[in-house]
Amino acid sequence: MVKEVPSTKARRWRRDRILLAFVLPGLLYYLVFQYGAMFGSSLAFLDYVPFLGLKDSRWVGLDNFERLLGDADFWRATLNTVEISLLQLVFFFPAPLALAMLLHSIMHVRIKRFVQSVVYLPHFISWVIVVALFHQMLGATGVLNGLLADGGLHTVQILGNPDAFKPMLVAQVIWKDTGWGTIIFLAALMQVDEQLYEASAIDGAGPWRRFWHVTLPGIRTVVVLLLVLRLGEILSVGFEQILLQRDSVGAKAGEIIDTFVYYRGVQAGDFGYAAAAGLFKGVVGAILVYAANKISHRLGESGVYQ
Amino acid sequence: MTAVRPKWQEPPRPVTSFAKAVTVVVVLALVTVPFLVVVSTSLADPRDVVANGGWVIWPERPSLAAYREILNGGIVGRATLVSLAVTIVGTALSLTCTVLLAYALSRPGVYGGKPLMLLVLFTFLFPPGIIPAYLVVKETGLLNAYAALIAPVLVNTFNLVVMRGFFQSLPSELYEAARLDGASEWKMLWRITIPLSRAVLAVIGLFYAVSYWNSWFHALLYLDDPAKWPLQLVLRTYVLAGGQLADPSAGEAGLMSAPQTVQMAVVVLATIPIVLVYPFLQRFFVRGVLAGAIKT
Amino acid sequence: MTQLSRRAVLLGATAAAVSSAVGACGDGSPGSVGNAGAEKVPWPTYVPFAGPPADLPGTAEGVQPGYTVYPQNLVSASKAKPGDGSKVRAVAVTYGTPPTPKEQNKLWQAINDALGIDLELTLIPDADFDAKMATLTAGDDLPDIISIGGGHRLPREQDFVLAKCADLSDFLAGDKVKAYPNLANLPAYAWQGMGRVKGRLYGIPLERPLPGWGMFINRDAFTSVGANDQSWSKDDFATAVKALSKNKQYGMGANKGNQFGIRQFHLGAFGSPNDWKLDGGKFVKAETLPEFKAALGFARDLFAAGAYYPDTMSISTVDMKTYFYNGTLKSMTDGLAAFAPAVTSVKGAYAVDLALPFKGGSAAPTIMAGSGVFGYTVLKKASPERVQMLLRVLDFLAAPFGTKEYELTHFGVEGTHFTRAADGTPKPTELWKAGENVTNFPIGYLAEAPRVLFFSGVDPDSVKRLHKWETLAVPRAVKNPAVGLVSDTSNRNGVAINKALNDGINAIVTGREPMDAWEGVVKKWRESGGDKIAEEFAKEYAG
Repeated sequence: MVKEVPSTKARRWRRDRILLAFVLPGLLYYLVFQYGAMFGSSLAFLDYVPFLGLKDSRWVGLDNFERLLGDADFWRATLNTVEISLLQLVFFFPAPLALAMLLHSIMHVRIKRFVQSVVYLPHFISWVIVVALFHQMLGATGVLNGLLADGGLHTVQILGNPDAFKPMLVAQVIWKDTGWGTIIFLAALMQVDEQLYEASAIDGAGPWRRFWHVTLPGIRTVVVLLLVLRLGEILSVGFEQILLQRDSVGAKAGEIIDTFVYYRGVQAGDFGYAAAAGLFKGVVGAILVYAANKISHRLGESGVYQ
Repeated sequence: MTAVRPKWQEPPRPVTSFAKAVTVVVVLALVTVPFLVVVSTSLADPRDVVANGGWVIWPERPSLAAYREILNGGIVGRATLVSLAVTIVGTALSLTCTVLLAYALSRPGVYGGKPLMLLVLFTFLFPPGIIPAYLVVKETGLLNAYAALIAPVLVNTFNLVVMRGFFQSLPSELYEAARLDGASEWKMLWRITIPLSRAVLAVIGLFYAVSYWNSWFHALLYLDDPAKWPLQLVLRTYVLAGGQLADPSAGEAGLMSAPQTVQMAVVVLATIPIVLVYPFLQRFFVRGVLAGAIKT
Repeated sequence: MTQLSRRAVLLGATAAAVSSAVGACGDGSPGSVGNAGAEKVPWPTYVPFAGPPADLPGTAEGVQPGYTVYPQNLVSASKAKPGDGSKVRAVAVTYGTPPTPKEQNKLWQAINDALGIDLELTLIPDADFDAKMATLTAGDDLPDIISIGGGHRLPREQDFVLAKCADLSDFLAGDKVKAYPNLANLPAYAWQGMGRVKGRLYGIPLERPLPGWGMFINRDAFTSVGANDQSWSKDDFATAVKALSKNKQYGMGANKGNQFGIRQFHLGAFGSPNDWKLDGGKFVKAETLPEFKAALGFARDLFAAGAYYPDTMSISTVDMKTYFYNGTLKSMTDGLAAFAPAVTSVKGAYAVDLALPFKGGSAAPTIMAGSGVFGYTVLKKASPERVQMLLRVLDFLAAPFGTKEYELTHFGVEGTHFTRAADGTPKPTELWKAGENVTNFPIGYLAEAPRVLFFSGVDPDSVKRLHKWETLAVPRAVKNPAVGLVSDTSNRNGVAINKALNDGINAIVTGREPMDAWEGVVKKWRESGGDKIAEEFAKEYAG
């Protein structure tokens, strides 16, 4: 028996040679661009001067992290990130569910398909374009304010207004991804057992009670799973979306951790410090995602890891 | 074509139907009206756009001047070609690498499969930051090369996991039968897996293509020369950040140019490919997205 | 015409920082110093070019010489082709449209041919300059010529210049510059505005005239509401711009980067110092003084009254100009270099003019002087032969008005880019107007002659208007005492520190924060390094 192990291994190796060839390009990618970058996070411990390179930059140990923890701008960015995440959770998260219910209740198949086609589309539009669209519609000289002014009404400052910035970000996400988000909920709604509805209806339950006692329990697992996963990503809010618009409201309202990294690192050239902020986010984020997955497993779901 | 209402369900009340109809119309309008305004503004006479403060709902005097201006040998035309090339090459490479890796990882008991899968999944937990990613691109000598737009995002772990999940769900009997016939792994991938996975390949190909087409940040970070920039970055720089796309002193005498017509024409140009490809792939969405992503 | 200097000769807050950027070089280790204590090489000797006489004479104070007619006899400013046929890579900022590629660009080809090099010019849009230069200088493959200007700064500029750029002292200091006669024609204030690094010369300054900025007005519109800028009070001014703000048109134009024109125009009206005030050896920041607050409050009231373009905070300089040209905006604050393109772009629809400052307080109104430079050009470290070759190239590009070289670098090739009118004036061709010009191929950011007032193809009256404005405004110009001085803090964190001030100004003018939030903004500025910058300037000034 003991003898057979190496030979099995060797056989497996022979058998899998071609599979390993399949693996190579992808593996190379992961090693260089994912793990290489993880290694590159060591920048966080350097006073990295780009034109001196890794070798000649000074090792500063935890200095960057110490600075980071005492940096009010960083904490404000963190707070903004969490605030935006929570706003999205409260306002964006239920939106696809509501739209999915509406779509699910449309009996006319062609209309349903048409509506679906239209509402999925924004998901594929780049953030650059979405921001341009919002600017054209809601900007100070956009359609909405133009109409208000033509009607002799007060104009409203939505874009470029720090107070409106976070709700506006959420509105953009709702516009872009509500339709797309319905796919999973629609699938879940389809899987709710038809007979449960029938039984409930025979028992005299109206539409609301059926929703409450049949629909919701039927899709509960999906909802909880998505919710937990989203909570795990609380430190990640749309980087590109916010980078495109941060300048219009300033750092106080518009900075998130990722843009903090970008502005401090790439724009101001404080690479080591920015890398420290990025690493901090990476580690906390990893813990949160890991915890979220553990919880979702506890809840009897398979999570994204299987 | 109407689905049959189940017997247990009461006929909808007129009020409910009406409210539902209104909601649907509002939702549709919210999605489509911005596009309408953009297309209209891009097609409007610049004078009308100026007079109306920067936009129109409908072009009273349609004009293709803005499109002529941006496609007249300038940066927009070049950037469109760059975007198309990067999207096509990038999608092909990404899809190939993802299929190969997903296939290998989907075969039961493959040598080194488990640690490899962990290696892949760990990147979910710890995606590379902006600065380290930049450093890798710099050290690999890809700065200023178009490859910098593809190599750092070659395989998307989510797409890989979805694809592997789908491959695993294919009936193993097929493979066993093929193996008895002496088929190689290559043959099995080509003859069994791929033909059975068209939907998921289409969707993941679409995901890759859309992300390449829509990407601008990597170009901003990695390409110094604006002459190499893809369309979305040109759009971001010359529309949102307000760089200059057309020389205001050019153009016909007396015709005051309205930057908005030109800007909106670029927006339309950057949206068109998505809208063109979309209908063909739409039917695969549901199957593709749900396959393996989250099993309930 | 060249459409140089969008943010023109640097905004108030950044002026000192930028102009002293080269000067502010240390060795990168903590506690590095600027020029204090370092052995200083002499400034290049000024040898003025005996050019054609100007019909609107300049003054020693800083009024530029003006030409309403083009010189008849052009001289040659160089004997041989400066280049050695090699490839030369350069990078510069651009405010124009990206040029057509070299293969199809006759202007580019002609300049390459005259320079005797194969120039590859990478042009980075203003909006992305900071990010791009930070990454570009991080790469190992630096361009041969790097132009830094327009209010931008590189991260750790001093470290960068010392580590990577050629020391030009041995070629330019003192009389040595005479080997490059056109560089010797650059006035002393330009060199000084650029500054030295640890006492040595590392760059070629890009000269700009003394009056850095102005408020451009649609003269016809202002006249139509009865405004007269020869003697106007702040109420006259406010009444006029409010009267001009109706029907989706606005009296006041600004953009997201220039703080509502406060630093460039309003400050002078309220008698504020220019960025810094030298008070018995101490440096006091303009923002900390009551004059600044008065100007801020004035702009805030105008914004609240709807006199500013409502979307000011999201439009770029380019947008602002376009809206000014097309009549949406009746005024805009911008660099003086924006004058000629404005006149050209407006196409005679109205008279473009510059406004004199109104009287905001008890003090006599002033204008803010620029730092005398747009920025500067540095060269990558190379063999002395190559550095000399590149200096000859830059010398060619700096050939003054009245030379054939100037004609090429400003108007292009005769017959292709311009035709000559009866009086010899170059008239732009369609090709030039369609975009093959020095706005889109801004070769002047590598090196350029001192500026004069001459605009081809532009109504000569507009030259006279600008010259008249300069004649009235220049004697009132207030200089920034910090220009050319060095502060390590400003070099390291100046961008972030000053950004807090700008954010505060933007928030208060747009009404997002109350007026009394200003004290907090100033306090934060002081604490986050502002006071330290002031101290360092004082030390540098004394040493």
